[in-house]
Amino acid sequence: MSDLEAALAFLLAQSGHSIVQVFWYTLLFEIPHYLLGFIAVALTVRPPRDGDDRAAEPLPVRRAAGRGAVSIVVVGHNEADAIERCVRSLREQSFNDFEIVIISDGSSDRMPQIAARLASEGLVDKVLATNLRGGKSAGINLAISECSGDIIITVDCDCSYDRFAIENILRPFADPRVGGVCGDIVPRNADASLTARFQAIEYLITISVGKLVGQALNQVVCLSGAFGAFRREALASIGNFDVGGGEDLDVTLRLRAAGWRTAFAGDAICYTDVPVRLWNLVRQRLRWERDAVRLRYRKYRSLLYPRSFRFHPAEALHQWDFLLFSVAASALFPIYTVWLYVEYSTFATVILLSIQIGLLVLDVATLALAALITGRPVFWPNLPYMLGFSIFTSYFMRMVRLVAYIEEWFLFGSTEDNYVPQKVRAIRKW
Amino acid sequence: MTYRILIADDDSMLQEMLKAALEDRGYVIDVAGDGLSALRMLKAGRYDLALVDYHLPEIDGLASARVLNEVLDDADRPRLIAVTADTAGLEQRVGSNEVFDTIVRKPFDIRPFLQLIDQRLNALGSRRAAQASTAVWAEHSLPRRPRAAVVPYPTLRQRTLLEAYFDVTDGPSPDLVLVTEEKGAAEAVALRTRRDAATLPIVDLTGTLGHSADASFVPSNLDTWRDVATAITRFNSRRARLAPTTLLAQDLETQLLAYMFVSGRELEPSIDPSRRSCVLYPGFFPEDRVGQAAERLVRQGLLSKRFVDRFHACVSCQSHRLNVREECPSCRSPDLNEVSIIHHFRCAHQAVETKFVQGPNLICPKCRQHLRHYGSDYDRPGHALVCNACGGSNTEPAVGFACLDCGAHMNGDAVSRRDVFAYALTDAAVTRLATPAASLAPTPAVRTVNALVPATAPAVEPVWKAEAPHATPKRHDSRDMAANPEPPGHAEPIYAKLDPAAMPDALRDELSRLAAAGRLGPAVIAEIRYDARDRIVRQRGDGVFRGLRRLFLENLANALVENGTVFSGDDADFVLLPDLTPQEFAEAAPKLLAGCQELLAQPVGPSVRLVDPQDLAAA
Repeated sequence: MSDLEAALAFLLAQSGHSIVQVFWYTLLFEIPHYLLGFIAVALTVRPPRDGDDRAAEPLPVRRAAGRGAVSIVVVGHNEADAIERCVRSLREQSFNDFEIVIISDGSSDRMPQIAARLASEGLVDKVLATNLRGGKSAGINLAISECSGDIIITVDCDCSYDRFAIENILRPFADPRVGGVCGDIVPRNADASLTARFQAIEYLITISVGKLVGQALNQVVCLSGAFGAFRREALASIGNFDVGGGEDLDVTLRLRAAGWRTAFAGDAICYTDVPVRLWNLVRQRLRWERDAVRLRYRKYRSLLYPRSFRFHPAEALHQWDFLLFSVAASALFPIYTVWLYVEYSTFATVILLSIQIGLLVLDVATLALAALITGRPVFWPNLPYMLGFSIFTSYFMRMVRLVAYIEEWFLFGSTEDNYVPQKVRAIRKW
Repeated sequence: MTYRILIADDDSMLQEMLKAALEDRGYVIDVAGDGLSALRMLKAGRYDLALVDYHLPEIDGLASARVLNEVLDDADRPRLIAVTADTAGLEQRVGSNEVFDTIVRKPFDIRPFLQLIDQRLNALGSRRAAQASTAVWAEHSLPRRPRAAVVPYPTLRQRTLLEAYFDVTDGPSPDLVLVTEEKGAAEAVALRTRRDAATLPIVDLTGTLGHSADASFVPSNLDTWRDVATAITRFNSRRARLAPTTLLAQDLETQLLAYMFVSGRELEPSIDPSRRSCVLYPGFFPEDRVGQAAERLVRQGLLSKRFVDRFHACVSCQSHRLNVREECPSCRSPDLNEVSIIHHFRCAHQAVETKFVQGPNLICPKCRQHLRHYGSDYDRPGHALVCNACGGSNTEPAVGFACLDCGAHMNGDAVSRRDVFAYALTDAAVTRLATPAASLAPTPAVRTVNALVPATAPAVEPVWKAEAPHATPKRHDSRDMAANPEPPGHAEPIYAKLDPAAMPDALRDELSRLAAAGRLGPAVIAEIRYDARDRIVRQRGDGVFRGLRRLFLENLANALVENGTVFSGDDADFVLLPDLTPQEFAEAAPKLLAGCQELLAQPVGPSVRLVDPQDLAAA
């Protein structure tokens, strides 16, 4: 009898109690998220609608005589190559009654000139270019002070937008409690590399499906900087954007803490390029995760504590959720793996394999769910990659997160992040 | 100019009265009481005018005048006016009319008398000035005072003044055109495009036409006399090299070429903000057409062009007078105000400076902190242009144009651009102008064959040569005109036998058409052969001969215009003149042929025979 057969015999011989003993990590840290997702989607899912249906509903924005009810702000640093495509994609929108304000944040390339030309062509309403980089938050704040819209939409230069994206991101504002809305982010370069493909699947699961779940549970906790819309009144109530990085998470947490609801518009699609090379992805994720830890557990740690004046169950929920399912899960995974090998020696590999197979089934089910609720043809193109994706997220990305958490928790890594200019970091550590 | 007048009269009352009146008018007056002292004074001093009483003591006025005529040169002799109560007596004396310019009867009205004196002295002044100017022109190699056409048409007074320097003429062939007032520039343009005025120098007397004129003239500045003389000489000498058809051309293109050739000037534009186009080409050609005409000539290879400047033109009125402005990209107001942007590091607030300024303090409107430490608390990363009209901000202003003439507004990218070029004659144009076939368009103005031929055209031998008679002369003997001393006008028509096969089809068709219309009466049909053909072909090749023959025929066609038609054949060419008698043709032919080959690089030696129309009809 080979080891494999022995291992399979061992697995099949497990009773309910012993299964918990062996698979406690998976049962504790992985299964609940999947289950929660399926339940939430089952309760709230609606079939995707097309443009004709949407047109029947009035948009919740004041129609001014000219542009003005909605402002789109584009802040970029050295985005000469991307700015024109971004603006032209915005001008292709089904809803076009908005002003565009471009801030060139200390660009040293031709971005200001190209933006000025777009202004002279009438595609852009205002262009302001600074000579010194002030960081994204300062750029957005400058744009907010110069734009006139009641709804302010922030977009990234390197993104392009679905024809109904703006129209759809505006709809949730029909609810006056909503202070901010984010759109769905879809990688447009999934075919560029395996790394990009895995990210496409990841975005599909964590944003397209994940945020829909969040929406059902009032747990949309990060209005992505690539495509977020804000009520001017809501931003004003929290003093607009604060020093970055992770300024999108920062502003979302503060909006929610100030009592505003945040929403997800899954049919407002923003297309973006994700990192193609693995190292770039790692650097990006290290930055994001460091910022998440810094914001959640340093800047806004009071949200965790029931006694804090800021305490609110909904806020405490996502704080604890992140602490448990992201931070603790990442930290415990290596321990669990080592424990498996100590306890079950050669059987451990088979156990890990069986866990992976189980997760693969759940991931495929989630992919099918994503295809169903987004109405996009995402199932078959991604299916061949699901096994790889499952291993990639379980082992590699989890390790990257762990590194980021350790770096931030013990080394204050985010204070060295060049995302924020040195002059600002010198005065605002976090 | 101060004139000196002698009053020779024994009537002291009259003396005093005249003296006072004339001195009032600025003249210098001497007085003589008798004929002898008058004679003495006239001889000794230089007087411009003498008022002489007929009956003077000692020697009478007429005698004094006669003596004076004898002893003084014409140039030194004053004008003499006789003043007498005895006009009848004076007029009876033989020669009194020749001695005195005018005889005035005493007593007289002082006013017309003084006018008479003014007039005489002014005429004298003009004559003297004219003589002086003739001398100055002669120094600059002009044999006489230049004949000047004047625009605008001069007043009598202007004409008198100008006569001192120029021979003012209304006649057909002036040497130059004078522009005496700025408003004359428009008339100069009208004049320029008139036949034969394209090649005259236009001289500026206003001092304001500058570059447009070919020369300017200031009487007190001798350099300008030289400039005018040089221009006239240059225009004259170059004009002589132009074909008559070119000189008389009425199309703007040819006139431009002719002007550029005779003036030796390029069509170099000057900047003139008083015009909508802001550009002025020299030469007084119609402003709105000269550029297009020059471009057509560039396409024909006759002018070359060189970029000079670029203008922006109003989309509605085409004016180049535009106000270029930095404007608000949103509302197009030029009322922009530059303010700096302030970035407060601590709270990431970034806005224009005005939102931070509170009295002497900079206070962050978001977090209410005082900004104290530049570089640590805050910095100024850039600037914004705030529009005072719409309140919008932008870093880059838009460029806009406002038309100063019609007030239209254009965005920078909507305005059209106009390039301005300078033009110069190409070698091809010079070659073409120097040949008689210069007119680029037909010149129907030439009515008769003689009109084209310069009076000085040298006779070209043989100009009217008949061939030896063919086998059987039918009705007339053919005579060799070269051997016949009789003038061609008295010659009998000479008819030659014609081989019908050599006749061009076009001529045959034309003859049948005329015959059918009953108009084939006294028609002249002449055959042209070229004596120099073999020699030219031998020396320079058939191509050169064909070129010369073609040019000769073009000249002939241009010269005949409506009087006849030229048909080119294989060995010989033909001329059909439906309304001319053989005698008339014989008279005109020598000069006509001479004129047509005069400006060819090499004479082709045309020899002409008449063809009997009846012969042709039979053929």
